[in-house]
Amino acid sequence: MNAPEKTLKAWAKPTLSSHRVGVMNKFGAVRQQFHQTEVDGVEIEPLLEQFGSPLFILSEKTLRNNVRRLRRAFATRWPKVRHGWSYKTNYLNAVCSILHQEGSWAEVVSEFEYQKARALGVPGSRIIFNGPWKPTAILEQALQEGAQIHIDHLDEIYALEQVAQKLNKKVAVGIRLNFDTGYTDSWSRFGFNLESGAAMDAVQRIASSQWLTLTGLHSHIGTFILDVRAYAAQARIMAEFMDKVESSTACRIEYLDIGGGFASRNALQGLYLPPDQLVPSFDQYAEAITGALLEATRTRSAAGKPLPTLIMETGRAVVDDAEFLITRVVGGKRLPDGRRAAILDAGVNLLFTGFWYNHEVKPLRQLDGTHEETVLYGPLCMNIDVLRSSVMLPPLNVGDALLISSVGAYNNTQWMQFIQYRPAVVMITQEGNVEVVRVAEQLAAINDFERLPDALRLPFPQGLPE
Amino acid sequence: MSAVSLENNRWVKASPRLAQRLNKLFVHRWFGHLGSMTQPLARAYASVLFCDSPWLGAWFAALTWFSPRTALPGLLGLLCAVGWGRVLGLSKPGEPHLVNGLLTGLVVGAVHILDVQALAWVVIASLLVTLSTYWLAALLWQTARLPVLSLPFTLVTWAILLTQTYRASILAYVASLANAHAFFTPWLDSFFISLGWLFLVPYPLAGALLFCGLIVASRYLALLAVAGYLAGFAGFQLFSLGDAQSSGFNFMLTAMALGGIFTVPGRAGFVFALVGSCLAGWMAVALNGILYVLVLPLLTAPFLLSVYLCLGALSVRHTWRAPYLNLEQPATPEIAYERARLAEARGAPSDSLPLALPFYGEWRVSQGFDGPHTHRDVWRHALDFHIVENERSHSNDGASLNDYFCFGAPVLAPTSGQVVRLRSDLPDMPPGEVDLINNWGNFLLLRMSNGLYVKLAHLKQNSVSVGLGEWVSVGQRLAACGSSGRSPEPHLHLHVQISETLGSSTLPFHFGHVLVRNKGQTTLDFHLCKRPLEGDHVSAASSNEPLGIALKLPAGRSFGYRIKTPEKPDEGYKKSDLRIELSLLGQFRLVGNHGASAAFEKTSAVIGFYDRQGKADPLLDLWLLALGLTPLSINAESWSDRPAMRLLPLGIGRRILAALLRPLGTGCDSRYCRHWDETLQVWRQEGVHCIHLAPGIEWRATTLALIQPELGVRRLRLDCFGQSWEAVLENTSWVSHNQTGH
Repeated sequence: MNAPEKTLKAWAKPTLSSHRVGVMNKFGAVRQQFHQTEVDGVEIEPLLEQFGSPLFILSEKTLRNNVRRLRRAFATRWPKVRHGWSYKTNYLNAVCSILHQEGSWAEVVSEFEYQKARALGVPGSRIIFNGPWKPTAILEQALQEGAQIHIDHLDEIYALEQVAQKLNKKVAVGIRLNFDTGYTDSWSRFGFNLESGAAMDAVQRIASSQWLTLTGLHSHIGTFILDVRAYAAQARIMAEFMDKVESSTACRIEYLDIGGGFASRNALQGLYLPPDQLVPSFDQYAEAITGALLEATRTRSAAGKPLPTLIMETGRAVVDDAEFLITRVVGGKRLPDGRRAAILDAGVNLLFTGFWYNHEVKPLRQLDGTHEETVLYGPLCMNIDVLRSSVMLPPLNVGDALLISSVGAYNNTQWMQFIQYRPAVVMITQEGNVEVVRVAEQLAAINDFERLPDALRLPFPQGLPE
Repeated sequence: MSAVSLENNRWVKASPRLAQRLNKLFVHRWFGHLGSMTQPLARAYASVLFCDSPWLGAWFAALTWFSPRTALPGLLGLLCAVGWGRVLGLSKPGEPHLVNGLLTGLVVGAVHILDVQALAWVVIASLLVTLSTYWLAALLWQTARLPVLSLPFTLVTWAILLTQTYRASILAYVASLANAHAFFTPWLDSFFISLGWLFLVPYPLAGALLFCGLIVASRYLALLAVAGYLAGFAGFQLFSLGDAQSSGFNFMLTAMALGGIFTVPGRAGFVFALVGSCLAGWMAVALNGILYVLVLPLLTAPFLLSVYLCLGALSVRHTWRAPYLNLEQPATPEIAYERARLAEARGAPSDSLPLALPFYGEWRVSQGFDGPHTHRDVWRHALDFHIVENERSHSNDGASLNDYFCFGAPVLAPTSGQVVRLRSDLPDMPPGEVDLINNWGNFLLLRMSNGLYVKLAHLKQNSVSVGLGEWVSVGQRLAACGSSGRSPEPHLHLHVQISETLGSSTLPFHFGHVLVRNKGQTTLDFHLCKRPLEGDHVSAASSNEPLGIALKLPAGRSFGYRIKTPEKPDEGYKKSDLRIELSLLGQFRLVGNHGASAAFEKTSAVIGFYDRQGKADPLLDLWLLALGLTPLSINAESWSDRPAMRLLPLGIGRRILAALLRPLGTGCDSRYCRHWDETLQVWRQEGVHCIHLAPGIEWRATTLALIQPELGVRRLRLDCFGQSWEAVLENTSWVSHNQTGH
C-alpha cells in the first residue's frame, strides 16, 4: 500500500478569528479582498525598490480625465464656465501645471500660493486670489498684475482702495459671501454675511468707491458636501443677490464663483454607505447648480442681460483619486483587545486626511489567510498616528506593501516633517513613463534652513562625559 | 466724395484705384468745381461699355469725334438727357437715361444732316428717352427683375426712324460709313469696326483705341468682348451669310453683360456668356427678317433680347448654383469676383440655413450629412451629436444610460420659433436597444419664421420643458439629450425639414460662429459659417468682453496712427487716421485719410471687413489685412480668410505681373492665429498671407496686430518682400457727429 501522496501547501501565518456579526454587509463581503499591483500599467514594486518606501504615486491620466470631466459636465450645461485650480489642495508644481495646461486658472489663498503660481508662469490675470489675509505687498502685486481678488472683510476693502489709489488704477473686485443654504453649516468666518445685511453694506461701500468696482460674487459653502441641493440653494441665493446688487447699485456682476467642496470618491469616517453610492458625480453637481442658476436667471436673460460666468474652485474631487500612497509594513502586533495591528512606515505625518477618511487600503500582492480586523498605525511616536482604526485585511508580514488610494487632496500640502522625512512623489505620465516630481527629503535640505550660533557648534564642549 | 455716393456708385465702378487716381487728377486739379458736372457726362460714355471711370469716359468721348457729325448730336443728346432729368426731377443711381440719351443722339446724328431739325430731333428724342428709361426701368425691374439697359434707346430710335419716310436711303448711307481703309488684318478690322459701331465710329483705328481703353479698365471685360464676338459671329454665320459687322457689338455686349456684369465671373458664367452671345447672333438673323420689312436697323435689339431671355430665365431658378446671378448688386467683374471670393472663404453654401448650436460646450458629430447609418435619402441633411472624452462617449462599460456623457445634457433652441409638435413620454432605450415603432423618440418640432421646421429628436423622457404652441428664442433650454426612439446610444439628432409631417424631406443647414477641433488637431479653428463633418468637435464661439471692447468701432471714433513705410524711410513716421463712419443706409465703414474705405459688420462673436473701395491707403490696407476677419472669442486660436491681393503694397512691376496673370485679381490664402501675450498684456494676432499667382510664383506676407484691452489696436505691422510697414496707435478721438453721416 502506497503512502498518500504529499501535497505542499503554502504556509500561511496562523490566525485566530472569532465568529462575529457585521463582517458581511449588504454590499457584499470584505471589500479589501483585492490587491493592486500597478498604477496606469506601471508595476509598483519596482518603483518602491527604486525610490524607497513610502512613496506617493500620481496618475497624470486620471488627473487630466478628472478635470476634463468636471469642465465638460459644467460646460455642456452653462455657456460660460471657468475652473480655478485650488492650490491648497495640492500645489505640487507638476499637478498645478497639468491643470493649467487643461485650462484651469490658479485659485490661491496666500502670498506663498500667489508667488508659487507666478513662479510657475501663471499670469496674474489668470489667478483668483481668495483667503482671509492678503498682505499689502502681495495685494499690490496682484492688483498690478490684474488678478481676480475676492474681498474677505471690510478692512480689506480699505486696504485695496489704498493700493488702487497708489497705483492710480480702478480695479475690478469680487466679494466673498456667507449664508445659510439650509443644507450645510454656514462657514460664517469667511466673507460677508448675507442675512445680517453685512454683504449689502460691503457692496454699497464698494459701489461708492472711486477706486473699486464690483464685478463678481464668491462663496464657498463648505467641504465634502454630498447633497447637491446645497449647491442648488447656493446658486439660487447668489443669483438673487446678484440681481439685488445690480438693481441697487451701478455694479454689473460678471461672474459667480461657487467655490469648491465637491466630495471625492473617498469614505468619510462615520458614513455608512460606501462612496460609490454616496458621492454625486460631476454631472449631478452640475445639473443641480446650473438648473438652479437657470431658474434664478430666467428674468435676467429674458431682459437680455448677459448670463454670469460660472466659476468652480473644485480641488478635492479633481485630484483625490489621482494619487496613491504606497507604504510597507514594518512590524505587527496583537492588541490587548485581540485586534491585529500593523505598523507602517507612513502615518498621519504623510496622510493628514487619514484623520477624517477611511482610505481604501489594498495589498500589492495576493495575501493568503483569513481577513481580520486590523488597525494600521504609522511610524510616529504619537498615539493619534492611526491610518485606519479598523480595516479587514489578511495577515501582513514585514515588508508587505500596501496601496492607499485617493490621497491626492490636501496630503501633499498638509503633510508634516515630524520626526520623519517626507518621501518622493513620482508621476506616471500619460505615456506611461515615470517622472520624479518631488525628490525624497534629506537631512541636509532640512538643516539648510537652520542657523546654529557659533557658541553652540560643539554639542559636548567639555568632551564626552563618562 | 462721400461714402454715400461711393456706395451707390460701386456697381458701375470699374477699376476703383485707377478711377480714384484719375478722379483726383481729372476732376480736382484740372477742372476744379467743373468736375462735378463733367463727371456724370464722362461716366455716361464709359457706361456704354459697362465701365464707370470718368477718365475712360472722356477717352471714349474723344474717340466719338472720329465722326464729328455723330459726336456732336451724341453730346447734345447726353446734355439734353441731363437737362430733362433735372427738369423732370428724375434721377437714380447710375442715371441710366444719360447713356440712352447719348446713344440716341449718336444715331440721330448719323441719320440726319446736321441742321436745326436734327438738333430738334435730338431734344425731342432725349425727352422720350428720359421718360421711357424711368418708366421701363421700373416696369422691368418690378415685373421681371431685369435691368433696363439700352432698351429705351432702341425703342425711341426706332420710333424716330419710323417717322422718316426716306429711311432706306439713310440706312444705306449709314452703312457706307464703315467703308474705311483696311488697317489691321481683315478679322481684326472687322472686330474693331464692330466695336466702333457702338459709338457710330465704324473705323478700325477708332475701334482699336476703344478696345485699348476697355483693356485698361477691365481685362476680363475685354476678354469677354472678344470671346462674345467670336461666339456671336459663329451663331450668326450658322443661319446667315450676310455681314454681321454692324451688329457685332451686340455679341460683345451680350457676353460682357452676361459673363461679367450680371453674373459672378467664373467658368459657368463664361460659358453662359458665350451661349448668350451665340443666341444674340441667331437673334440678329431672326430680327433682321422682321426689321427688314420695316426698314429699321437692329441697333441693340439682339443684345437686349438675348440678355433678357438668359437673365429672366435664370432669375426664376429655385436652386442656387453657378452661374450666380448678380442682379441686385451688379458690379464690375473684378469687384464681383472679389466679393464672391470673400463670400466663399467666409460663408457657407448659400442654399443652406443658418442655425445656432443646440447645446453648450463641445460635442462631437457622430453622424454627418449623408451619414452611413440613417442620414440617407430625404433625411440626408441631418446631424447627430454626442459628447466624448478621449474619443469615448461613455465612462465605465457603457451598459447604463447614465454612463453616457451626453445623457441628460441640456438641449437648446437652435433657432427662434414656435413649438408646433412635441413628444416627451417615450422611455429612453437601454444602450444597444432601439424603438423602431417610434423612430424619432421624444422630439420637438419648431416652426421658424421662414416657414421651415427644425427637429430635435431622441430627447430624454419627460425632459421637454416647453409646451405646444410656445414661442422659444435662440439658446433657450428646451429639453435634455436622451436615447428614446431609434437610438442605440444617447445622442441628439438635428435637422431642418420642409413640412410639419414627421419624416418630411430635410434641407441643408449650417452653424454660425463655431469653433471646430478636428481629430488630431490641437488648435480650435474659428469658422464664421460651418457645416461640421463627421468626427468634428464643435462648440460655440462665445464672445469675450474685453476683446469686444478693445475692437469696439463706434461711428465717430477716430484713431490716429504714426505710420512708417519703407518708401520714405528718411521721413520717419508720418501721421495717418482711420475713422468710423455710418453710411446713409446704415452701413458702418472704416475710412482712411484720402477717402478709401471698407465696410464692416460686427456681431457679438466676430468683426468682419468687406467691400474695400477707393485708392490705396497703407494704413487702411494694413488694418484690413491684419484684422479683416477677427473673431471676438478668445477661444478662437486660428482661422482662415481670403483678403484681396490688392491690399498688399505691390510695386508697379508686381502689379503689372499680377494684372497679366490674374486679370480678375486674386485673394490671399491667409491663415491667422491669436494668443495672449502676457508680458505686453496684449493679444497678438498674427497672419500669414500667401498668394499663389502662378505655378512657381508665390508671394508671402505676414501681418501682426497687437490688440490691447480697453485701448484698441495698438500696433500693426506688415512684412513682405523684405520690407516692413508699421503703424502705432497715437491717439483716439471722437469726430463730431455731424461729420459722420448722421
